[in-house]
Amino acid sequence: MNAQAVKYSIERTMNMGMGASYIWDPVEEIIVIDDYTVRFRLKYPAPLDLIAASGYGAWIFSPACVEAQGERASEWFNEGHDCGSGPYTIESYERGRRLVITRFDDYWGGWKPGQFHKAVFEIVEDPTVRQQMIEAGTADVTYDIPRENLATLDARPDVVVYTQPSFQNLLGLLNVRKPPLDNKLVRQAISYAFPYEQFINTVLSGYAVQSYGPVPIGMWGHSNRLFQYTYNLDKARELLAQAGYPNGGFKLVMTHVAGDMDERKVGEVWKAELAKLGIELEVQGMSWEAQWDLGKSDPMQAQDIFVMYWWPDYVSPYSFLYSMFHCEEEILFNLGYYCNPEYDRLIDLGNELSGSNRAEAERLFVEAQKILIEDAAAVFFYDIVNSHVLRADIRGYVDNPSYPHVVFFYELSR
Amino acid sequence: MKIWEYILRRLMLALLVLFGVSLVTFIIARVVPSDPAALWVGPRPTLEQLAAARAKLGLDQPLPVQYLRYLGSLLRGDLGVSIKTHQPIIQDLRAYLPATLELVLVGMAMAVFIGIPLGVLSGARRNSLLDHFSRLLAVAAVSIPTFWLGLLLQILFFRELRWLPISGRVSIETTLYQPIRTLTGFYLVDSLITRNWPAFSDALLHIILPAFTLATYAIGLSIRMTRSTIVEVLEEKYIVAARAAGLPERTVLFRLALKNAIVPTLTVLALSFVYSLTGAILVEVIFSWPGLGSYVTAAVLSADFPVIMAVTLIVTAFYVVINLLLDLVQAALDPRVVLR
Repeated sequence: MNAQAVKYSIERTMNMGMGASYIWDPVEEIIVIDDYTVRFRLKYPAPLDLIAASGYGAWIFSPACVEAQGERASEWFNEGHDCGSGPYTIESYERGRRLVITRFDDYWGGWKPGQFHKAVFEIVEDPTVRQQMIEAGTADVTYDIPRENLATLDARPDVVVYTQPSFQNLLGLLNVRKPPLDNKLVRQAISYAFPYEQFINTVLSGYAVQSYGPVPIGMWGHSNRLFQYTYNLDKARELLAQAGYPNGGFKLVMTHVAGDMDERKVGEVWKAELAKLGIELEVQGMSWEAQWDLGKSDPMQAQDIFVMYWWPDYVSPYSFLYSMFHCEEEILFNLGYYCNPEYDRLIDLGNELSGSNRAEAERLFVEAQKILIEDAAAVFFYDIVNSHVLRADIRGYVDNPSYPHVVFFYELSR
Repeated sequence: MKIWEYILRRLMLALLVLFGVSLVTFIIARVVPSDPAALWVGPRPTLEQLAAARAKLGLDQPLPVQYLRYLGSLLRGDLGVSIKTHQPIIQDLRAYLPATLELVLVGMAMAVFIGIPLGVLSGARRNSLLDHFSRLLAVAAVSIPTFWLGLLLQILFFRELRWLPISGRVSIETTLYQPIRTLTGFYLVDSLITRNWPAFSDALLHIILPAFTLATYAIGLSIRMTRSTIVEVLEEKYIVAARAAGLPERTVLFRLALKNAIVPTLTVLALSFVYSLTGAILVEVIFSWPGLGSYVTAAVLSADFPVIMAVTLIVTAFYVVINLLLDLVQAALDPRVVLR
């Protein structure tokens, strides 16, 4: 792995123009200075350190290895091969079943006694089976165990449950173009009609925290000094009356991904609360593609509330603030159709400064979020808390929310 | 009519059925609201990426053109590419179909070797303790929910007794140290051919619980079906004559009576076999069995239409062929059946 490999890998990703390659959009040119130094010339200011650390599309691989595959390189990768520069290499891969990685002896970081030589990934879909395997010790690491079982699991001496807020949150983007949600007061009213705390403590067994705006807890640009809507039906009624809907009397359509039980429960609980205000909420579950298709259609014919998760492609508040709330001529992910030039100015400036003056960038991002929250452009439900379950004798585990569910086996030992 | 003429005619009809199925699945795939291009490019695409994907997948062409292209690929034996994994579907099927077939075949073998003898003995010894037991077993087997039985068996044989593995086709140790060389994709057969005995016994231990869970319905069905036809057949005059002639009871039951009683049981078992190809999904999920059921469920959940269409065609082909074989076997076993 050297500077040439860095240049080759990133240029190949950029040229492919697929997946998350757009994260390299600011890059104008990559110049190799010497064996271990590269210089990036950018088209516009951008936080290149964060981009290079992205969990998506920022891998460095061996040019010779890729070239050896010729035109079939992409298919060859998809079949389960690697040309990477990391500590492990793929030993075997059976689609839908099992992946075995084994240590690469000449890894540049070197090897210490006690580190794992091999790691085996098994696809086990059923959560109760995963739980039984971790309890029996036939698996060492797992996640996505039913939340209600985690406390019992954590009480066992041979198992540890690690919990950590993730960079993923659930939002309901409000259609600001279509009546009645084009009225800020109505949007604020329905933001007051969701029982955040109760939902998190009961339905989610406490494995979430109520959001402060769109930037999740733990990420730079997050601020717990921002205003938070709380469950307050009296306040909601008051706002509705001011907006000219003293007894509600209108219907809203909320779309979400069918099969996502948490999203569905959000809809069911909210529906019951909104009914108390005389508002009918229709909760429509559909495939993501269909939900997104509807969202991208004419805003006047589209849903009123678009419920979805967001997580960053690289660790920057701009991912949340730009993708979902920046003015868009042709709709892509701004599925509440919010457009505010002052807001855009703040976040664009924040993004430009985030590589050079992060403190100022953070201040601008927080200011921009104040506008969003005051405008109630979305209902910010909660930031997800991830849980990972490990056998107690595994040491060195750290959950890094920048790389959700990635286990760095190189750091582990028993 | 000569038998080969009959087979040829049935195969021609099968082609028509497959054509009809391909047309219907294609239309459904295009009517259901979804965007295959969005699935192809993955999360967070740009508008340019979406447009490029639409052109690449031919989604910008009129529907009849799209269907003719699809049909042309089918005739060349190309089932298309999964829009989610970007892998040729035929390659995926090579991995997933043998896994399911192996599971279903072992399950059907269990149904035949447990269900039919129990049905025969139960019918022959009406109202005995064995009869009561097997009738109870049959009712329980057809009514017990598969997912619940699977979980119970896992708790008993994995968690409590530690006799059998909980999931997968082979253990991690076999993958690492005694890997099975893939010849047919059937692990039991491949390990047997290559004389990889540790892998064979490991694969056998892994298949017991899922195959039994899958087979319970067929076991119950074959007990009930065999019992009721045996009861009828045993009252026939030729059985009375055979018994009067002093033939051993085992010969009377399993040679003379069963031959006439087995046709309806075979019919339901054969249909149950084809149904299990995609119906094994619950068992496959619970036991992490990487088969066709899991594959097609993942495709359905993500609206991966090329995969759904390909699997529908494959399963239809299985239905057609199994039905044809069944008719031929029935004609061979029962002289009253005439092929027309």
